[in-house]
Amino acid sequence: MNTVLELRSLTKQYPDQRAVDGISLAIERGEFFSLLGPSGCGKTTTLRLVAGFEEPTEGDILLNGHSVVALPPFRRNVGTVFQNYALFPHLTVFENVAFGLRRRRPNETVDQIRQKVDRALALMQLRGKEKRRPSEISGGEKQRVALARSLVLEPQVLLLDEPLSALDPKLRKQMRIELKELQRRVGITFLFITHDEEEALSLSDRMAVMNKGVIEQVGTPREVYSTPTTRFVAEFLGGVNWLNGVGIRPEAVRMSRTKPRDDDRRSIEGVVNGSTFLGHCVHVHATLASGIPCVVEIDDRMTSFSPGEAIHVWWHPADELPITGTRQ
Amino acid sequence: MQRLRAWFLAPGYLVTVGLFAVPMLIVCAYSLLSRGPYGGVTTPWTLENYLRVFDPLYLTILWRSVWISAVSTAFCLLLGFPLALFVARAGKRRTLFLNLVMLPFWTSFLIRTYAWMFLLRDTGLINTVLQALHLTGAPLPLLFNNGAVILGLVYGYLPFMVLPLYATLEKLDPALLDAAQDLGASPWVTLWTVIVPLSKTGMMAGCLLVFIPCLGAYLTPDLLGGGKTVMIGNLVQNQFTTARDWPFGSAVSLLLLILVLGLLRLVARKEENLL
Ligand SMILES: Nc1ncnc2c1ncn2[C@@H]1O[C@H](COP(=O)(O)OP(=O)(O)O)[C@@H](O)[C@H]1O
Ligand SMILES: [Mg+2]
Repeated sequence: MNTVLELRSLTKQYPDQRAVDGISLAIERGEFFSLLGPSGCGKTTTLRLVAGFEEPTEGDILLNGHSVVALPPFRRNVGTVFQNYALFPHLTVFENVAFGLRRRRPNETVDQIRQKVDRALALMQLRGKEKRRPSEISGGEKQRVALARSLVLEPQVLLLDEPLSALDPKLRKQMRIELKELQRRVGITFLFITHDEEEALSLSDRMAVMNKGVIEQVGTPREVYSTPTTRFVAEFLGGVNWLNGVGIRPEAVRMSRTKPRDDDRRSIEGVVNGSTFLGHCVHVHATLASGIPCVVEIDDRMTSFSPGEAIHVWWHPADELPITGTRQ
Repeated sequence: MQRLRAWFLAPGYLVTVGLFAVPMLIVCAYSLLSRGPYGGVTTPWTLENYLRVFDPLYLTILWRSVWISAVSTAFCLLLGFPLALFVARAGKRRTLFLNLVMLPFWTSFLIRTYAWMFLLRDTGLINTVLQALHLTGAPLPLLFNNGAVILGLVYGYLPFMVLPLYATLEKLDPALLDAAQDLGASPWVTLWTVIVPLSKTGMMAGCLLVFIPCLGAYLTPDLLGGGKTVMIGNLVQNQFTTARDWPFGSAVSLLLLILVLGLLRLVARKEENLL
């Protein structure tokens, strides 16, 4: 594997706050890499630094091993898909996709450009919409035009700033699958920004979790979900129960009416408050002996609990989340 | 409900009919009558006033009005576009700059035009300074020529170009400029391929707002042109004063109106949602 994009202690200080606070990352060629974090944690700022729209206060950005900090955006070989797509309203779909080729490949003939645009439009299933204006196509189509416009230039890295958030939920899930499929097909490195943990977990080869301008953890979705190193990461990626001072995911907690025989050290008694039906499972809410709330995920085809029932919860030591970080 | 509506609309109708339609009809009637001995109009009815406009003397004046207005409008666009772009991108200080653009409106146009005369005349500030520095031997002919008129018109109507341009440029999504750069366009290319095409409506509106009053201007050519640069406005004014030919003055002013309306139609057809 080789690194295509590297951030070294990248920092962006705005007059009133430090939006990006010394982050370091190495992204491999061909990877689908997600940057996940809550709104306002500095994701967009990081992307704008990589694209060149902002200048870093400190740190370095390397593309293929060469620093690009001194280069203006129009000389960096990265592409950006903007949050609201930013399609040129005065140009047709075809002209939008051809815009970058005309600027970046001045030596190509009209025919060569036409062929490339046609291929990109076909890839994004936009045939027949060439002559439309952005105002005359749907949200999903706009997004595909934005993708085609950047991909046609074959950038070293494609930066995507919450590209799915402007779509309605049904379309969002469908586009998620298409996006992953597309990335595999074109083989271009994606740096995907999102505040939706489900998107990050389902799409990424690797991901970074960001909080308050700092990267808290980097790893595969499985690593980050199952072995979060900070409390923030654990809670941002899913539910966490804090039992006897250790974190355990709802699906790792077991529940029964009788006290489990082995290993009573890790069992706590409590009372059921109620349950929430979620379709694929049920979340039972209980209050444990010391007043701690606890959520347990169960399969309701096996068993069910009613409010007021006395229960015992327990777990395997292997399922305890290995949180060591002191960050809050 | 219907009655209430009528009451609220009544003042508007009254003003429009009494102060616009009626005078308009009077002017129409005058233009078809003959000249009275001491001004005013008398019978018989005639079309002669309209035919006289095609006299080469008056066609020259018409042509001069058109080209001086066109050149002034072009200068306004050339100066106004960068200014509007600068104001639109000035962030928090936008309002301040916008107020500065409108500051001249706080003083009478007449006084401001006189101020230009004091600057430009042979014993004016500019010539005095140039001569004091021995850069010129004799005063430069800065006043009483076409150049001075164009300068005065550009100065007077620049805000009318800047404001509509500002309104369009301010609405321009900054992400589009980022997108252009991201796709390889330098700032200069971005200007020509994104900013200029997207501010076309503002440019058209601004050009109309400048060109139309320029075409009818009489104060500026009168004062800064010194009677040598006669434009349509001066011609009309003359007919009602020294020449005492009200019917001809009416005919010329109606032709000016038709010219402007025709121009508006032409532009409005191209730009549906203009103004
Ligand atoms: N141009 C700017 N000037 C000042 N502060 C900014 C600017 N852009 C972003 N910020 C601040 O930096 C923080 C991070 O913003 P951003 O990177 O947009 O977050 P995210 O994309 O993760 O929601 C926010 O608190 C925001 O208010
Ligand atoms: Mg953002």
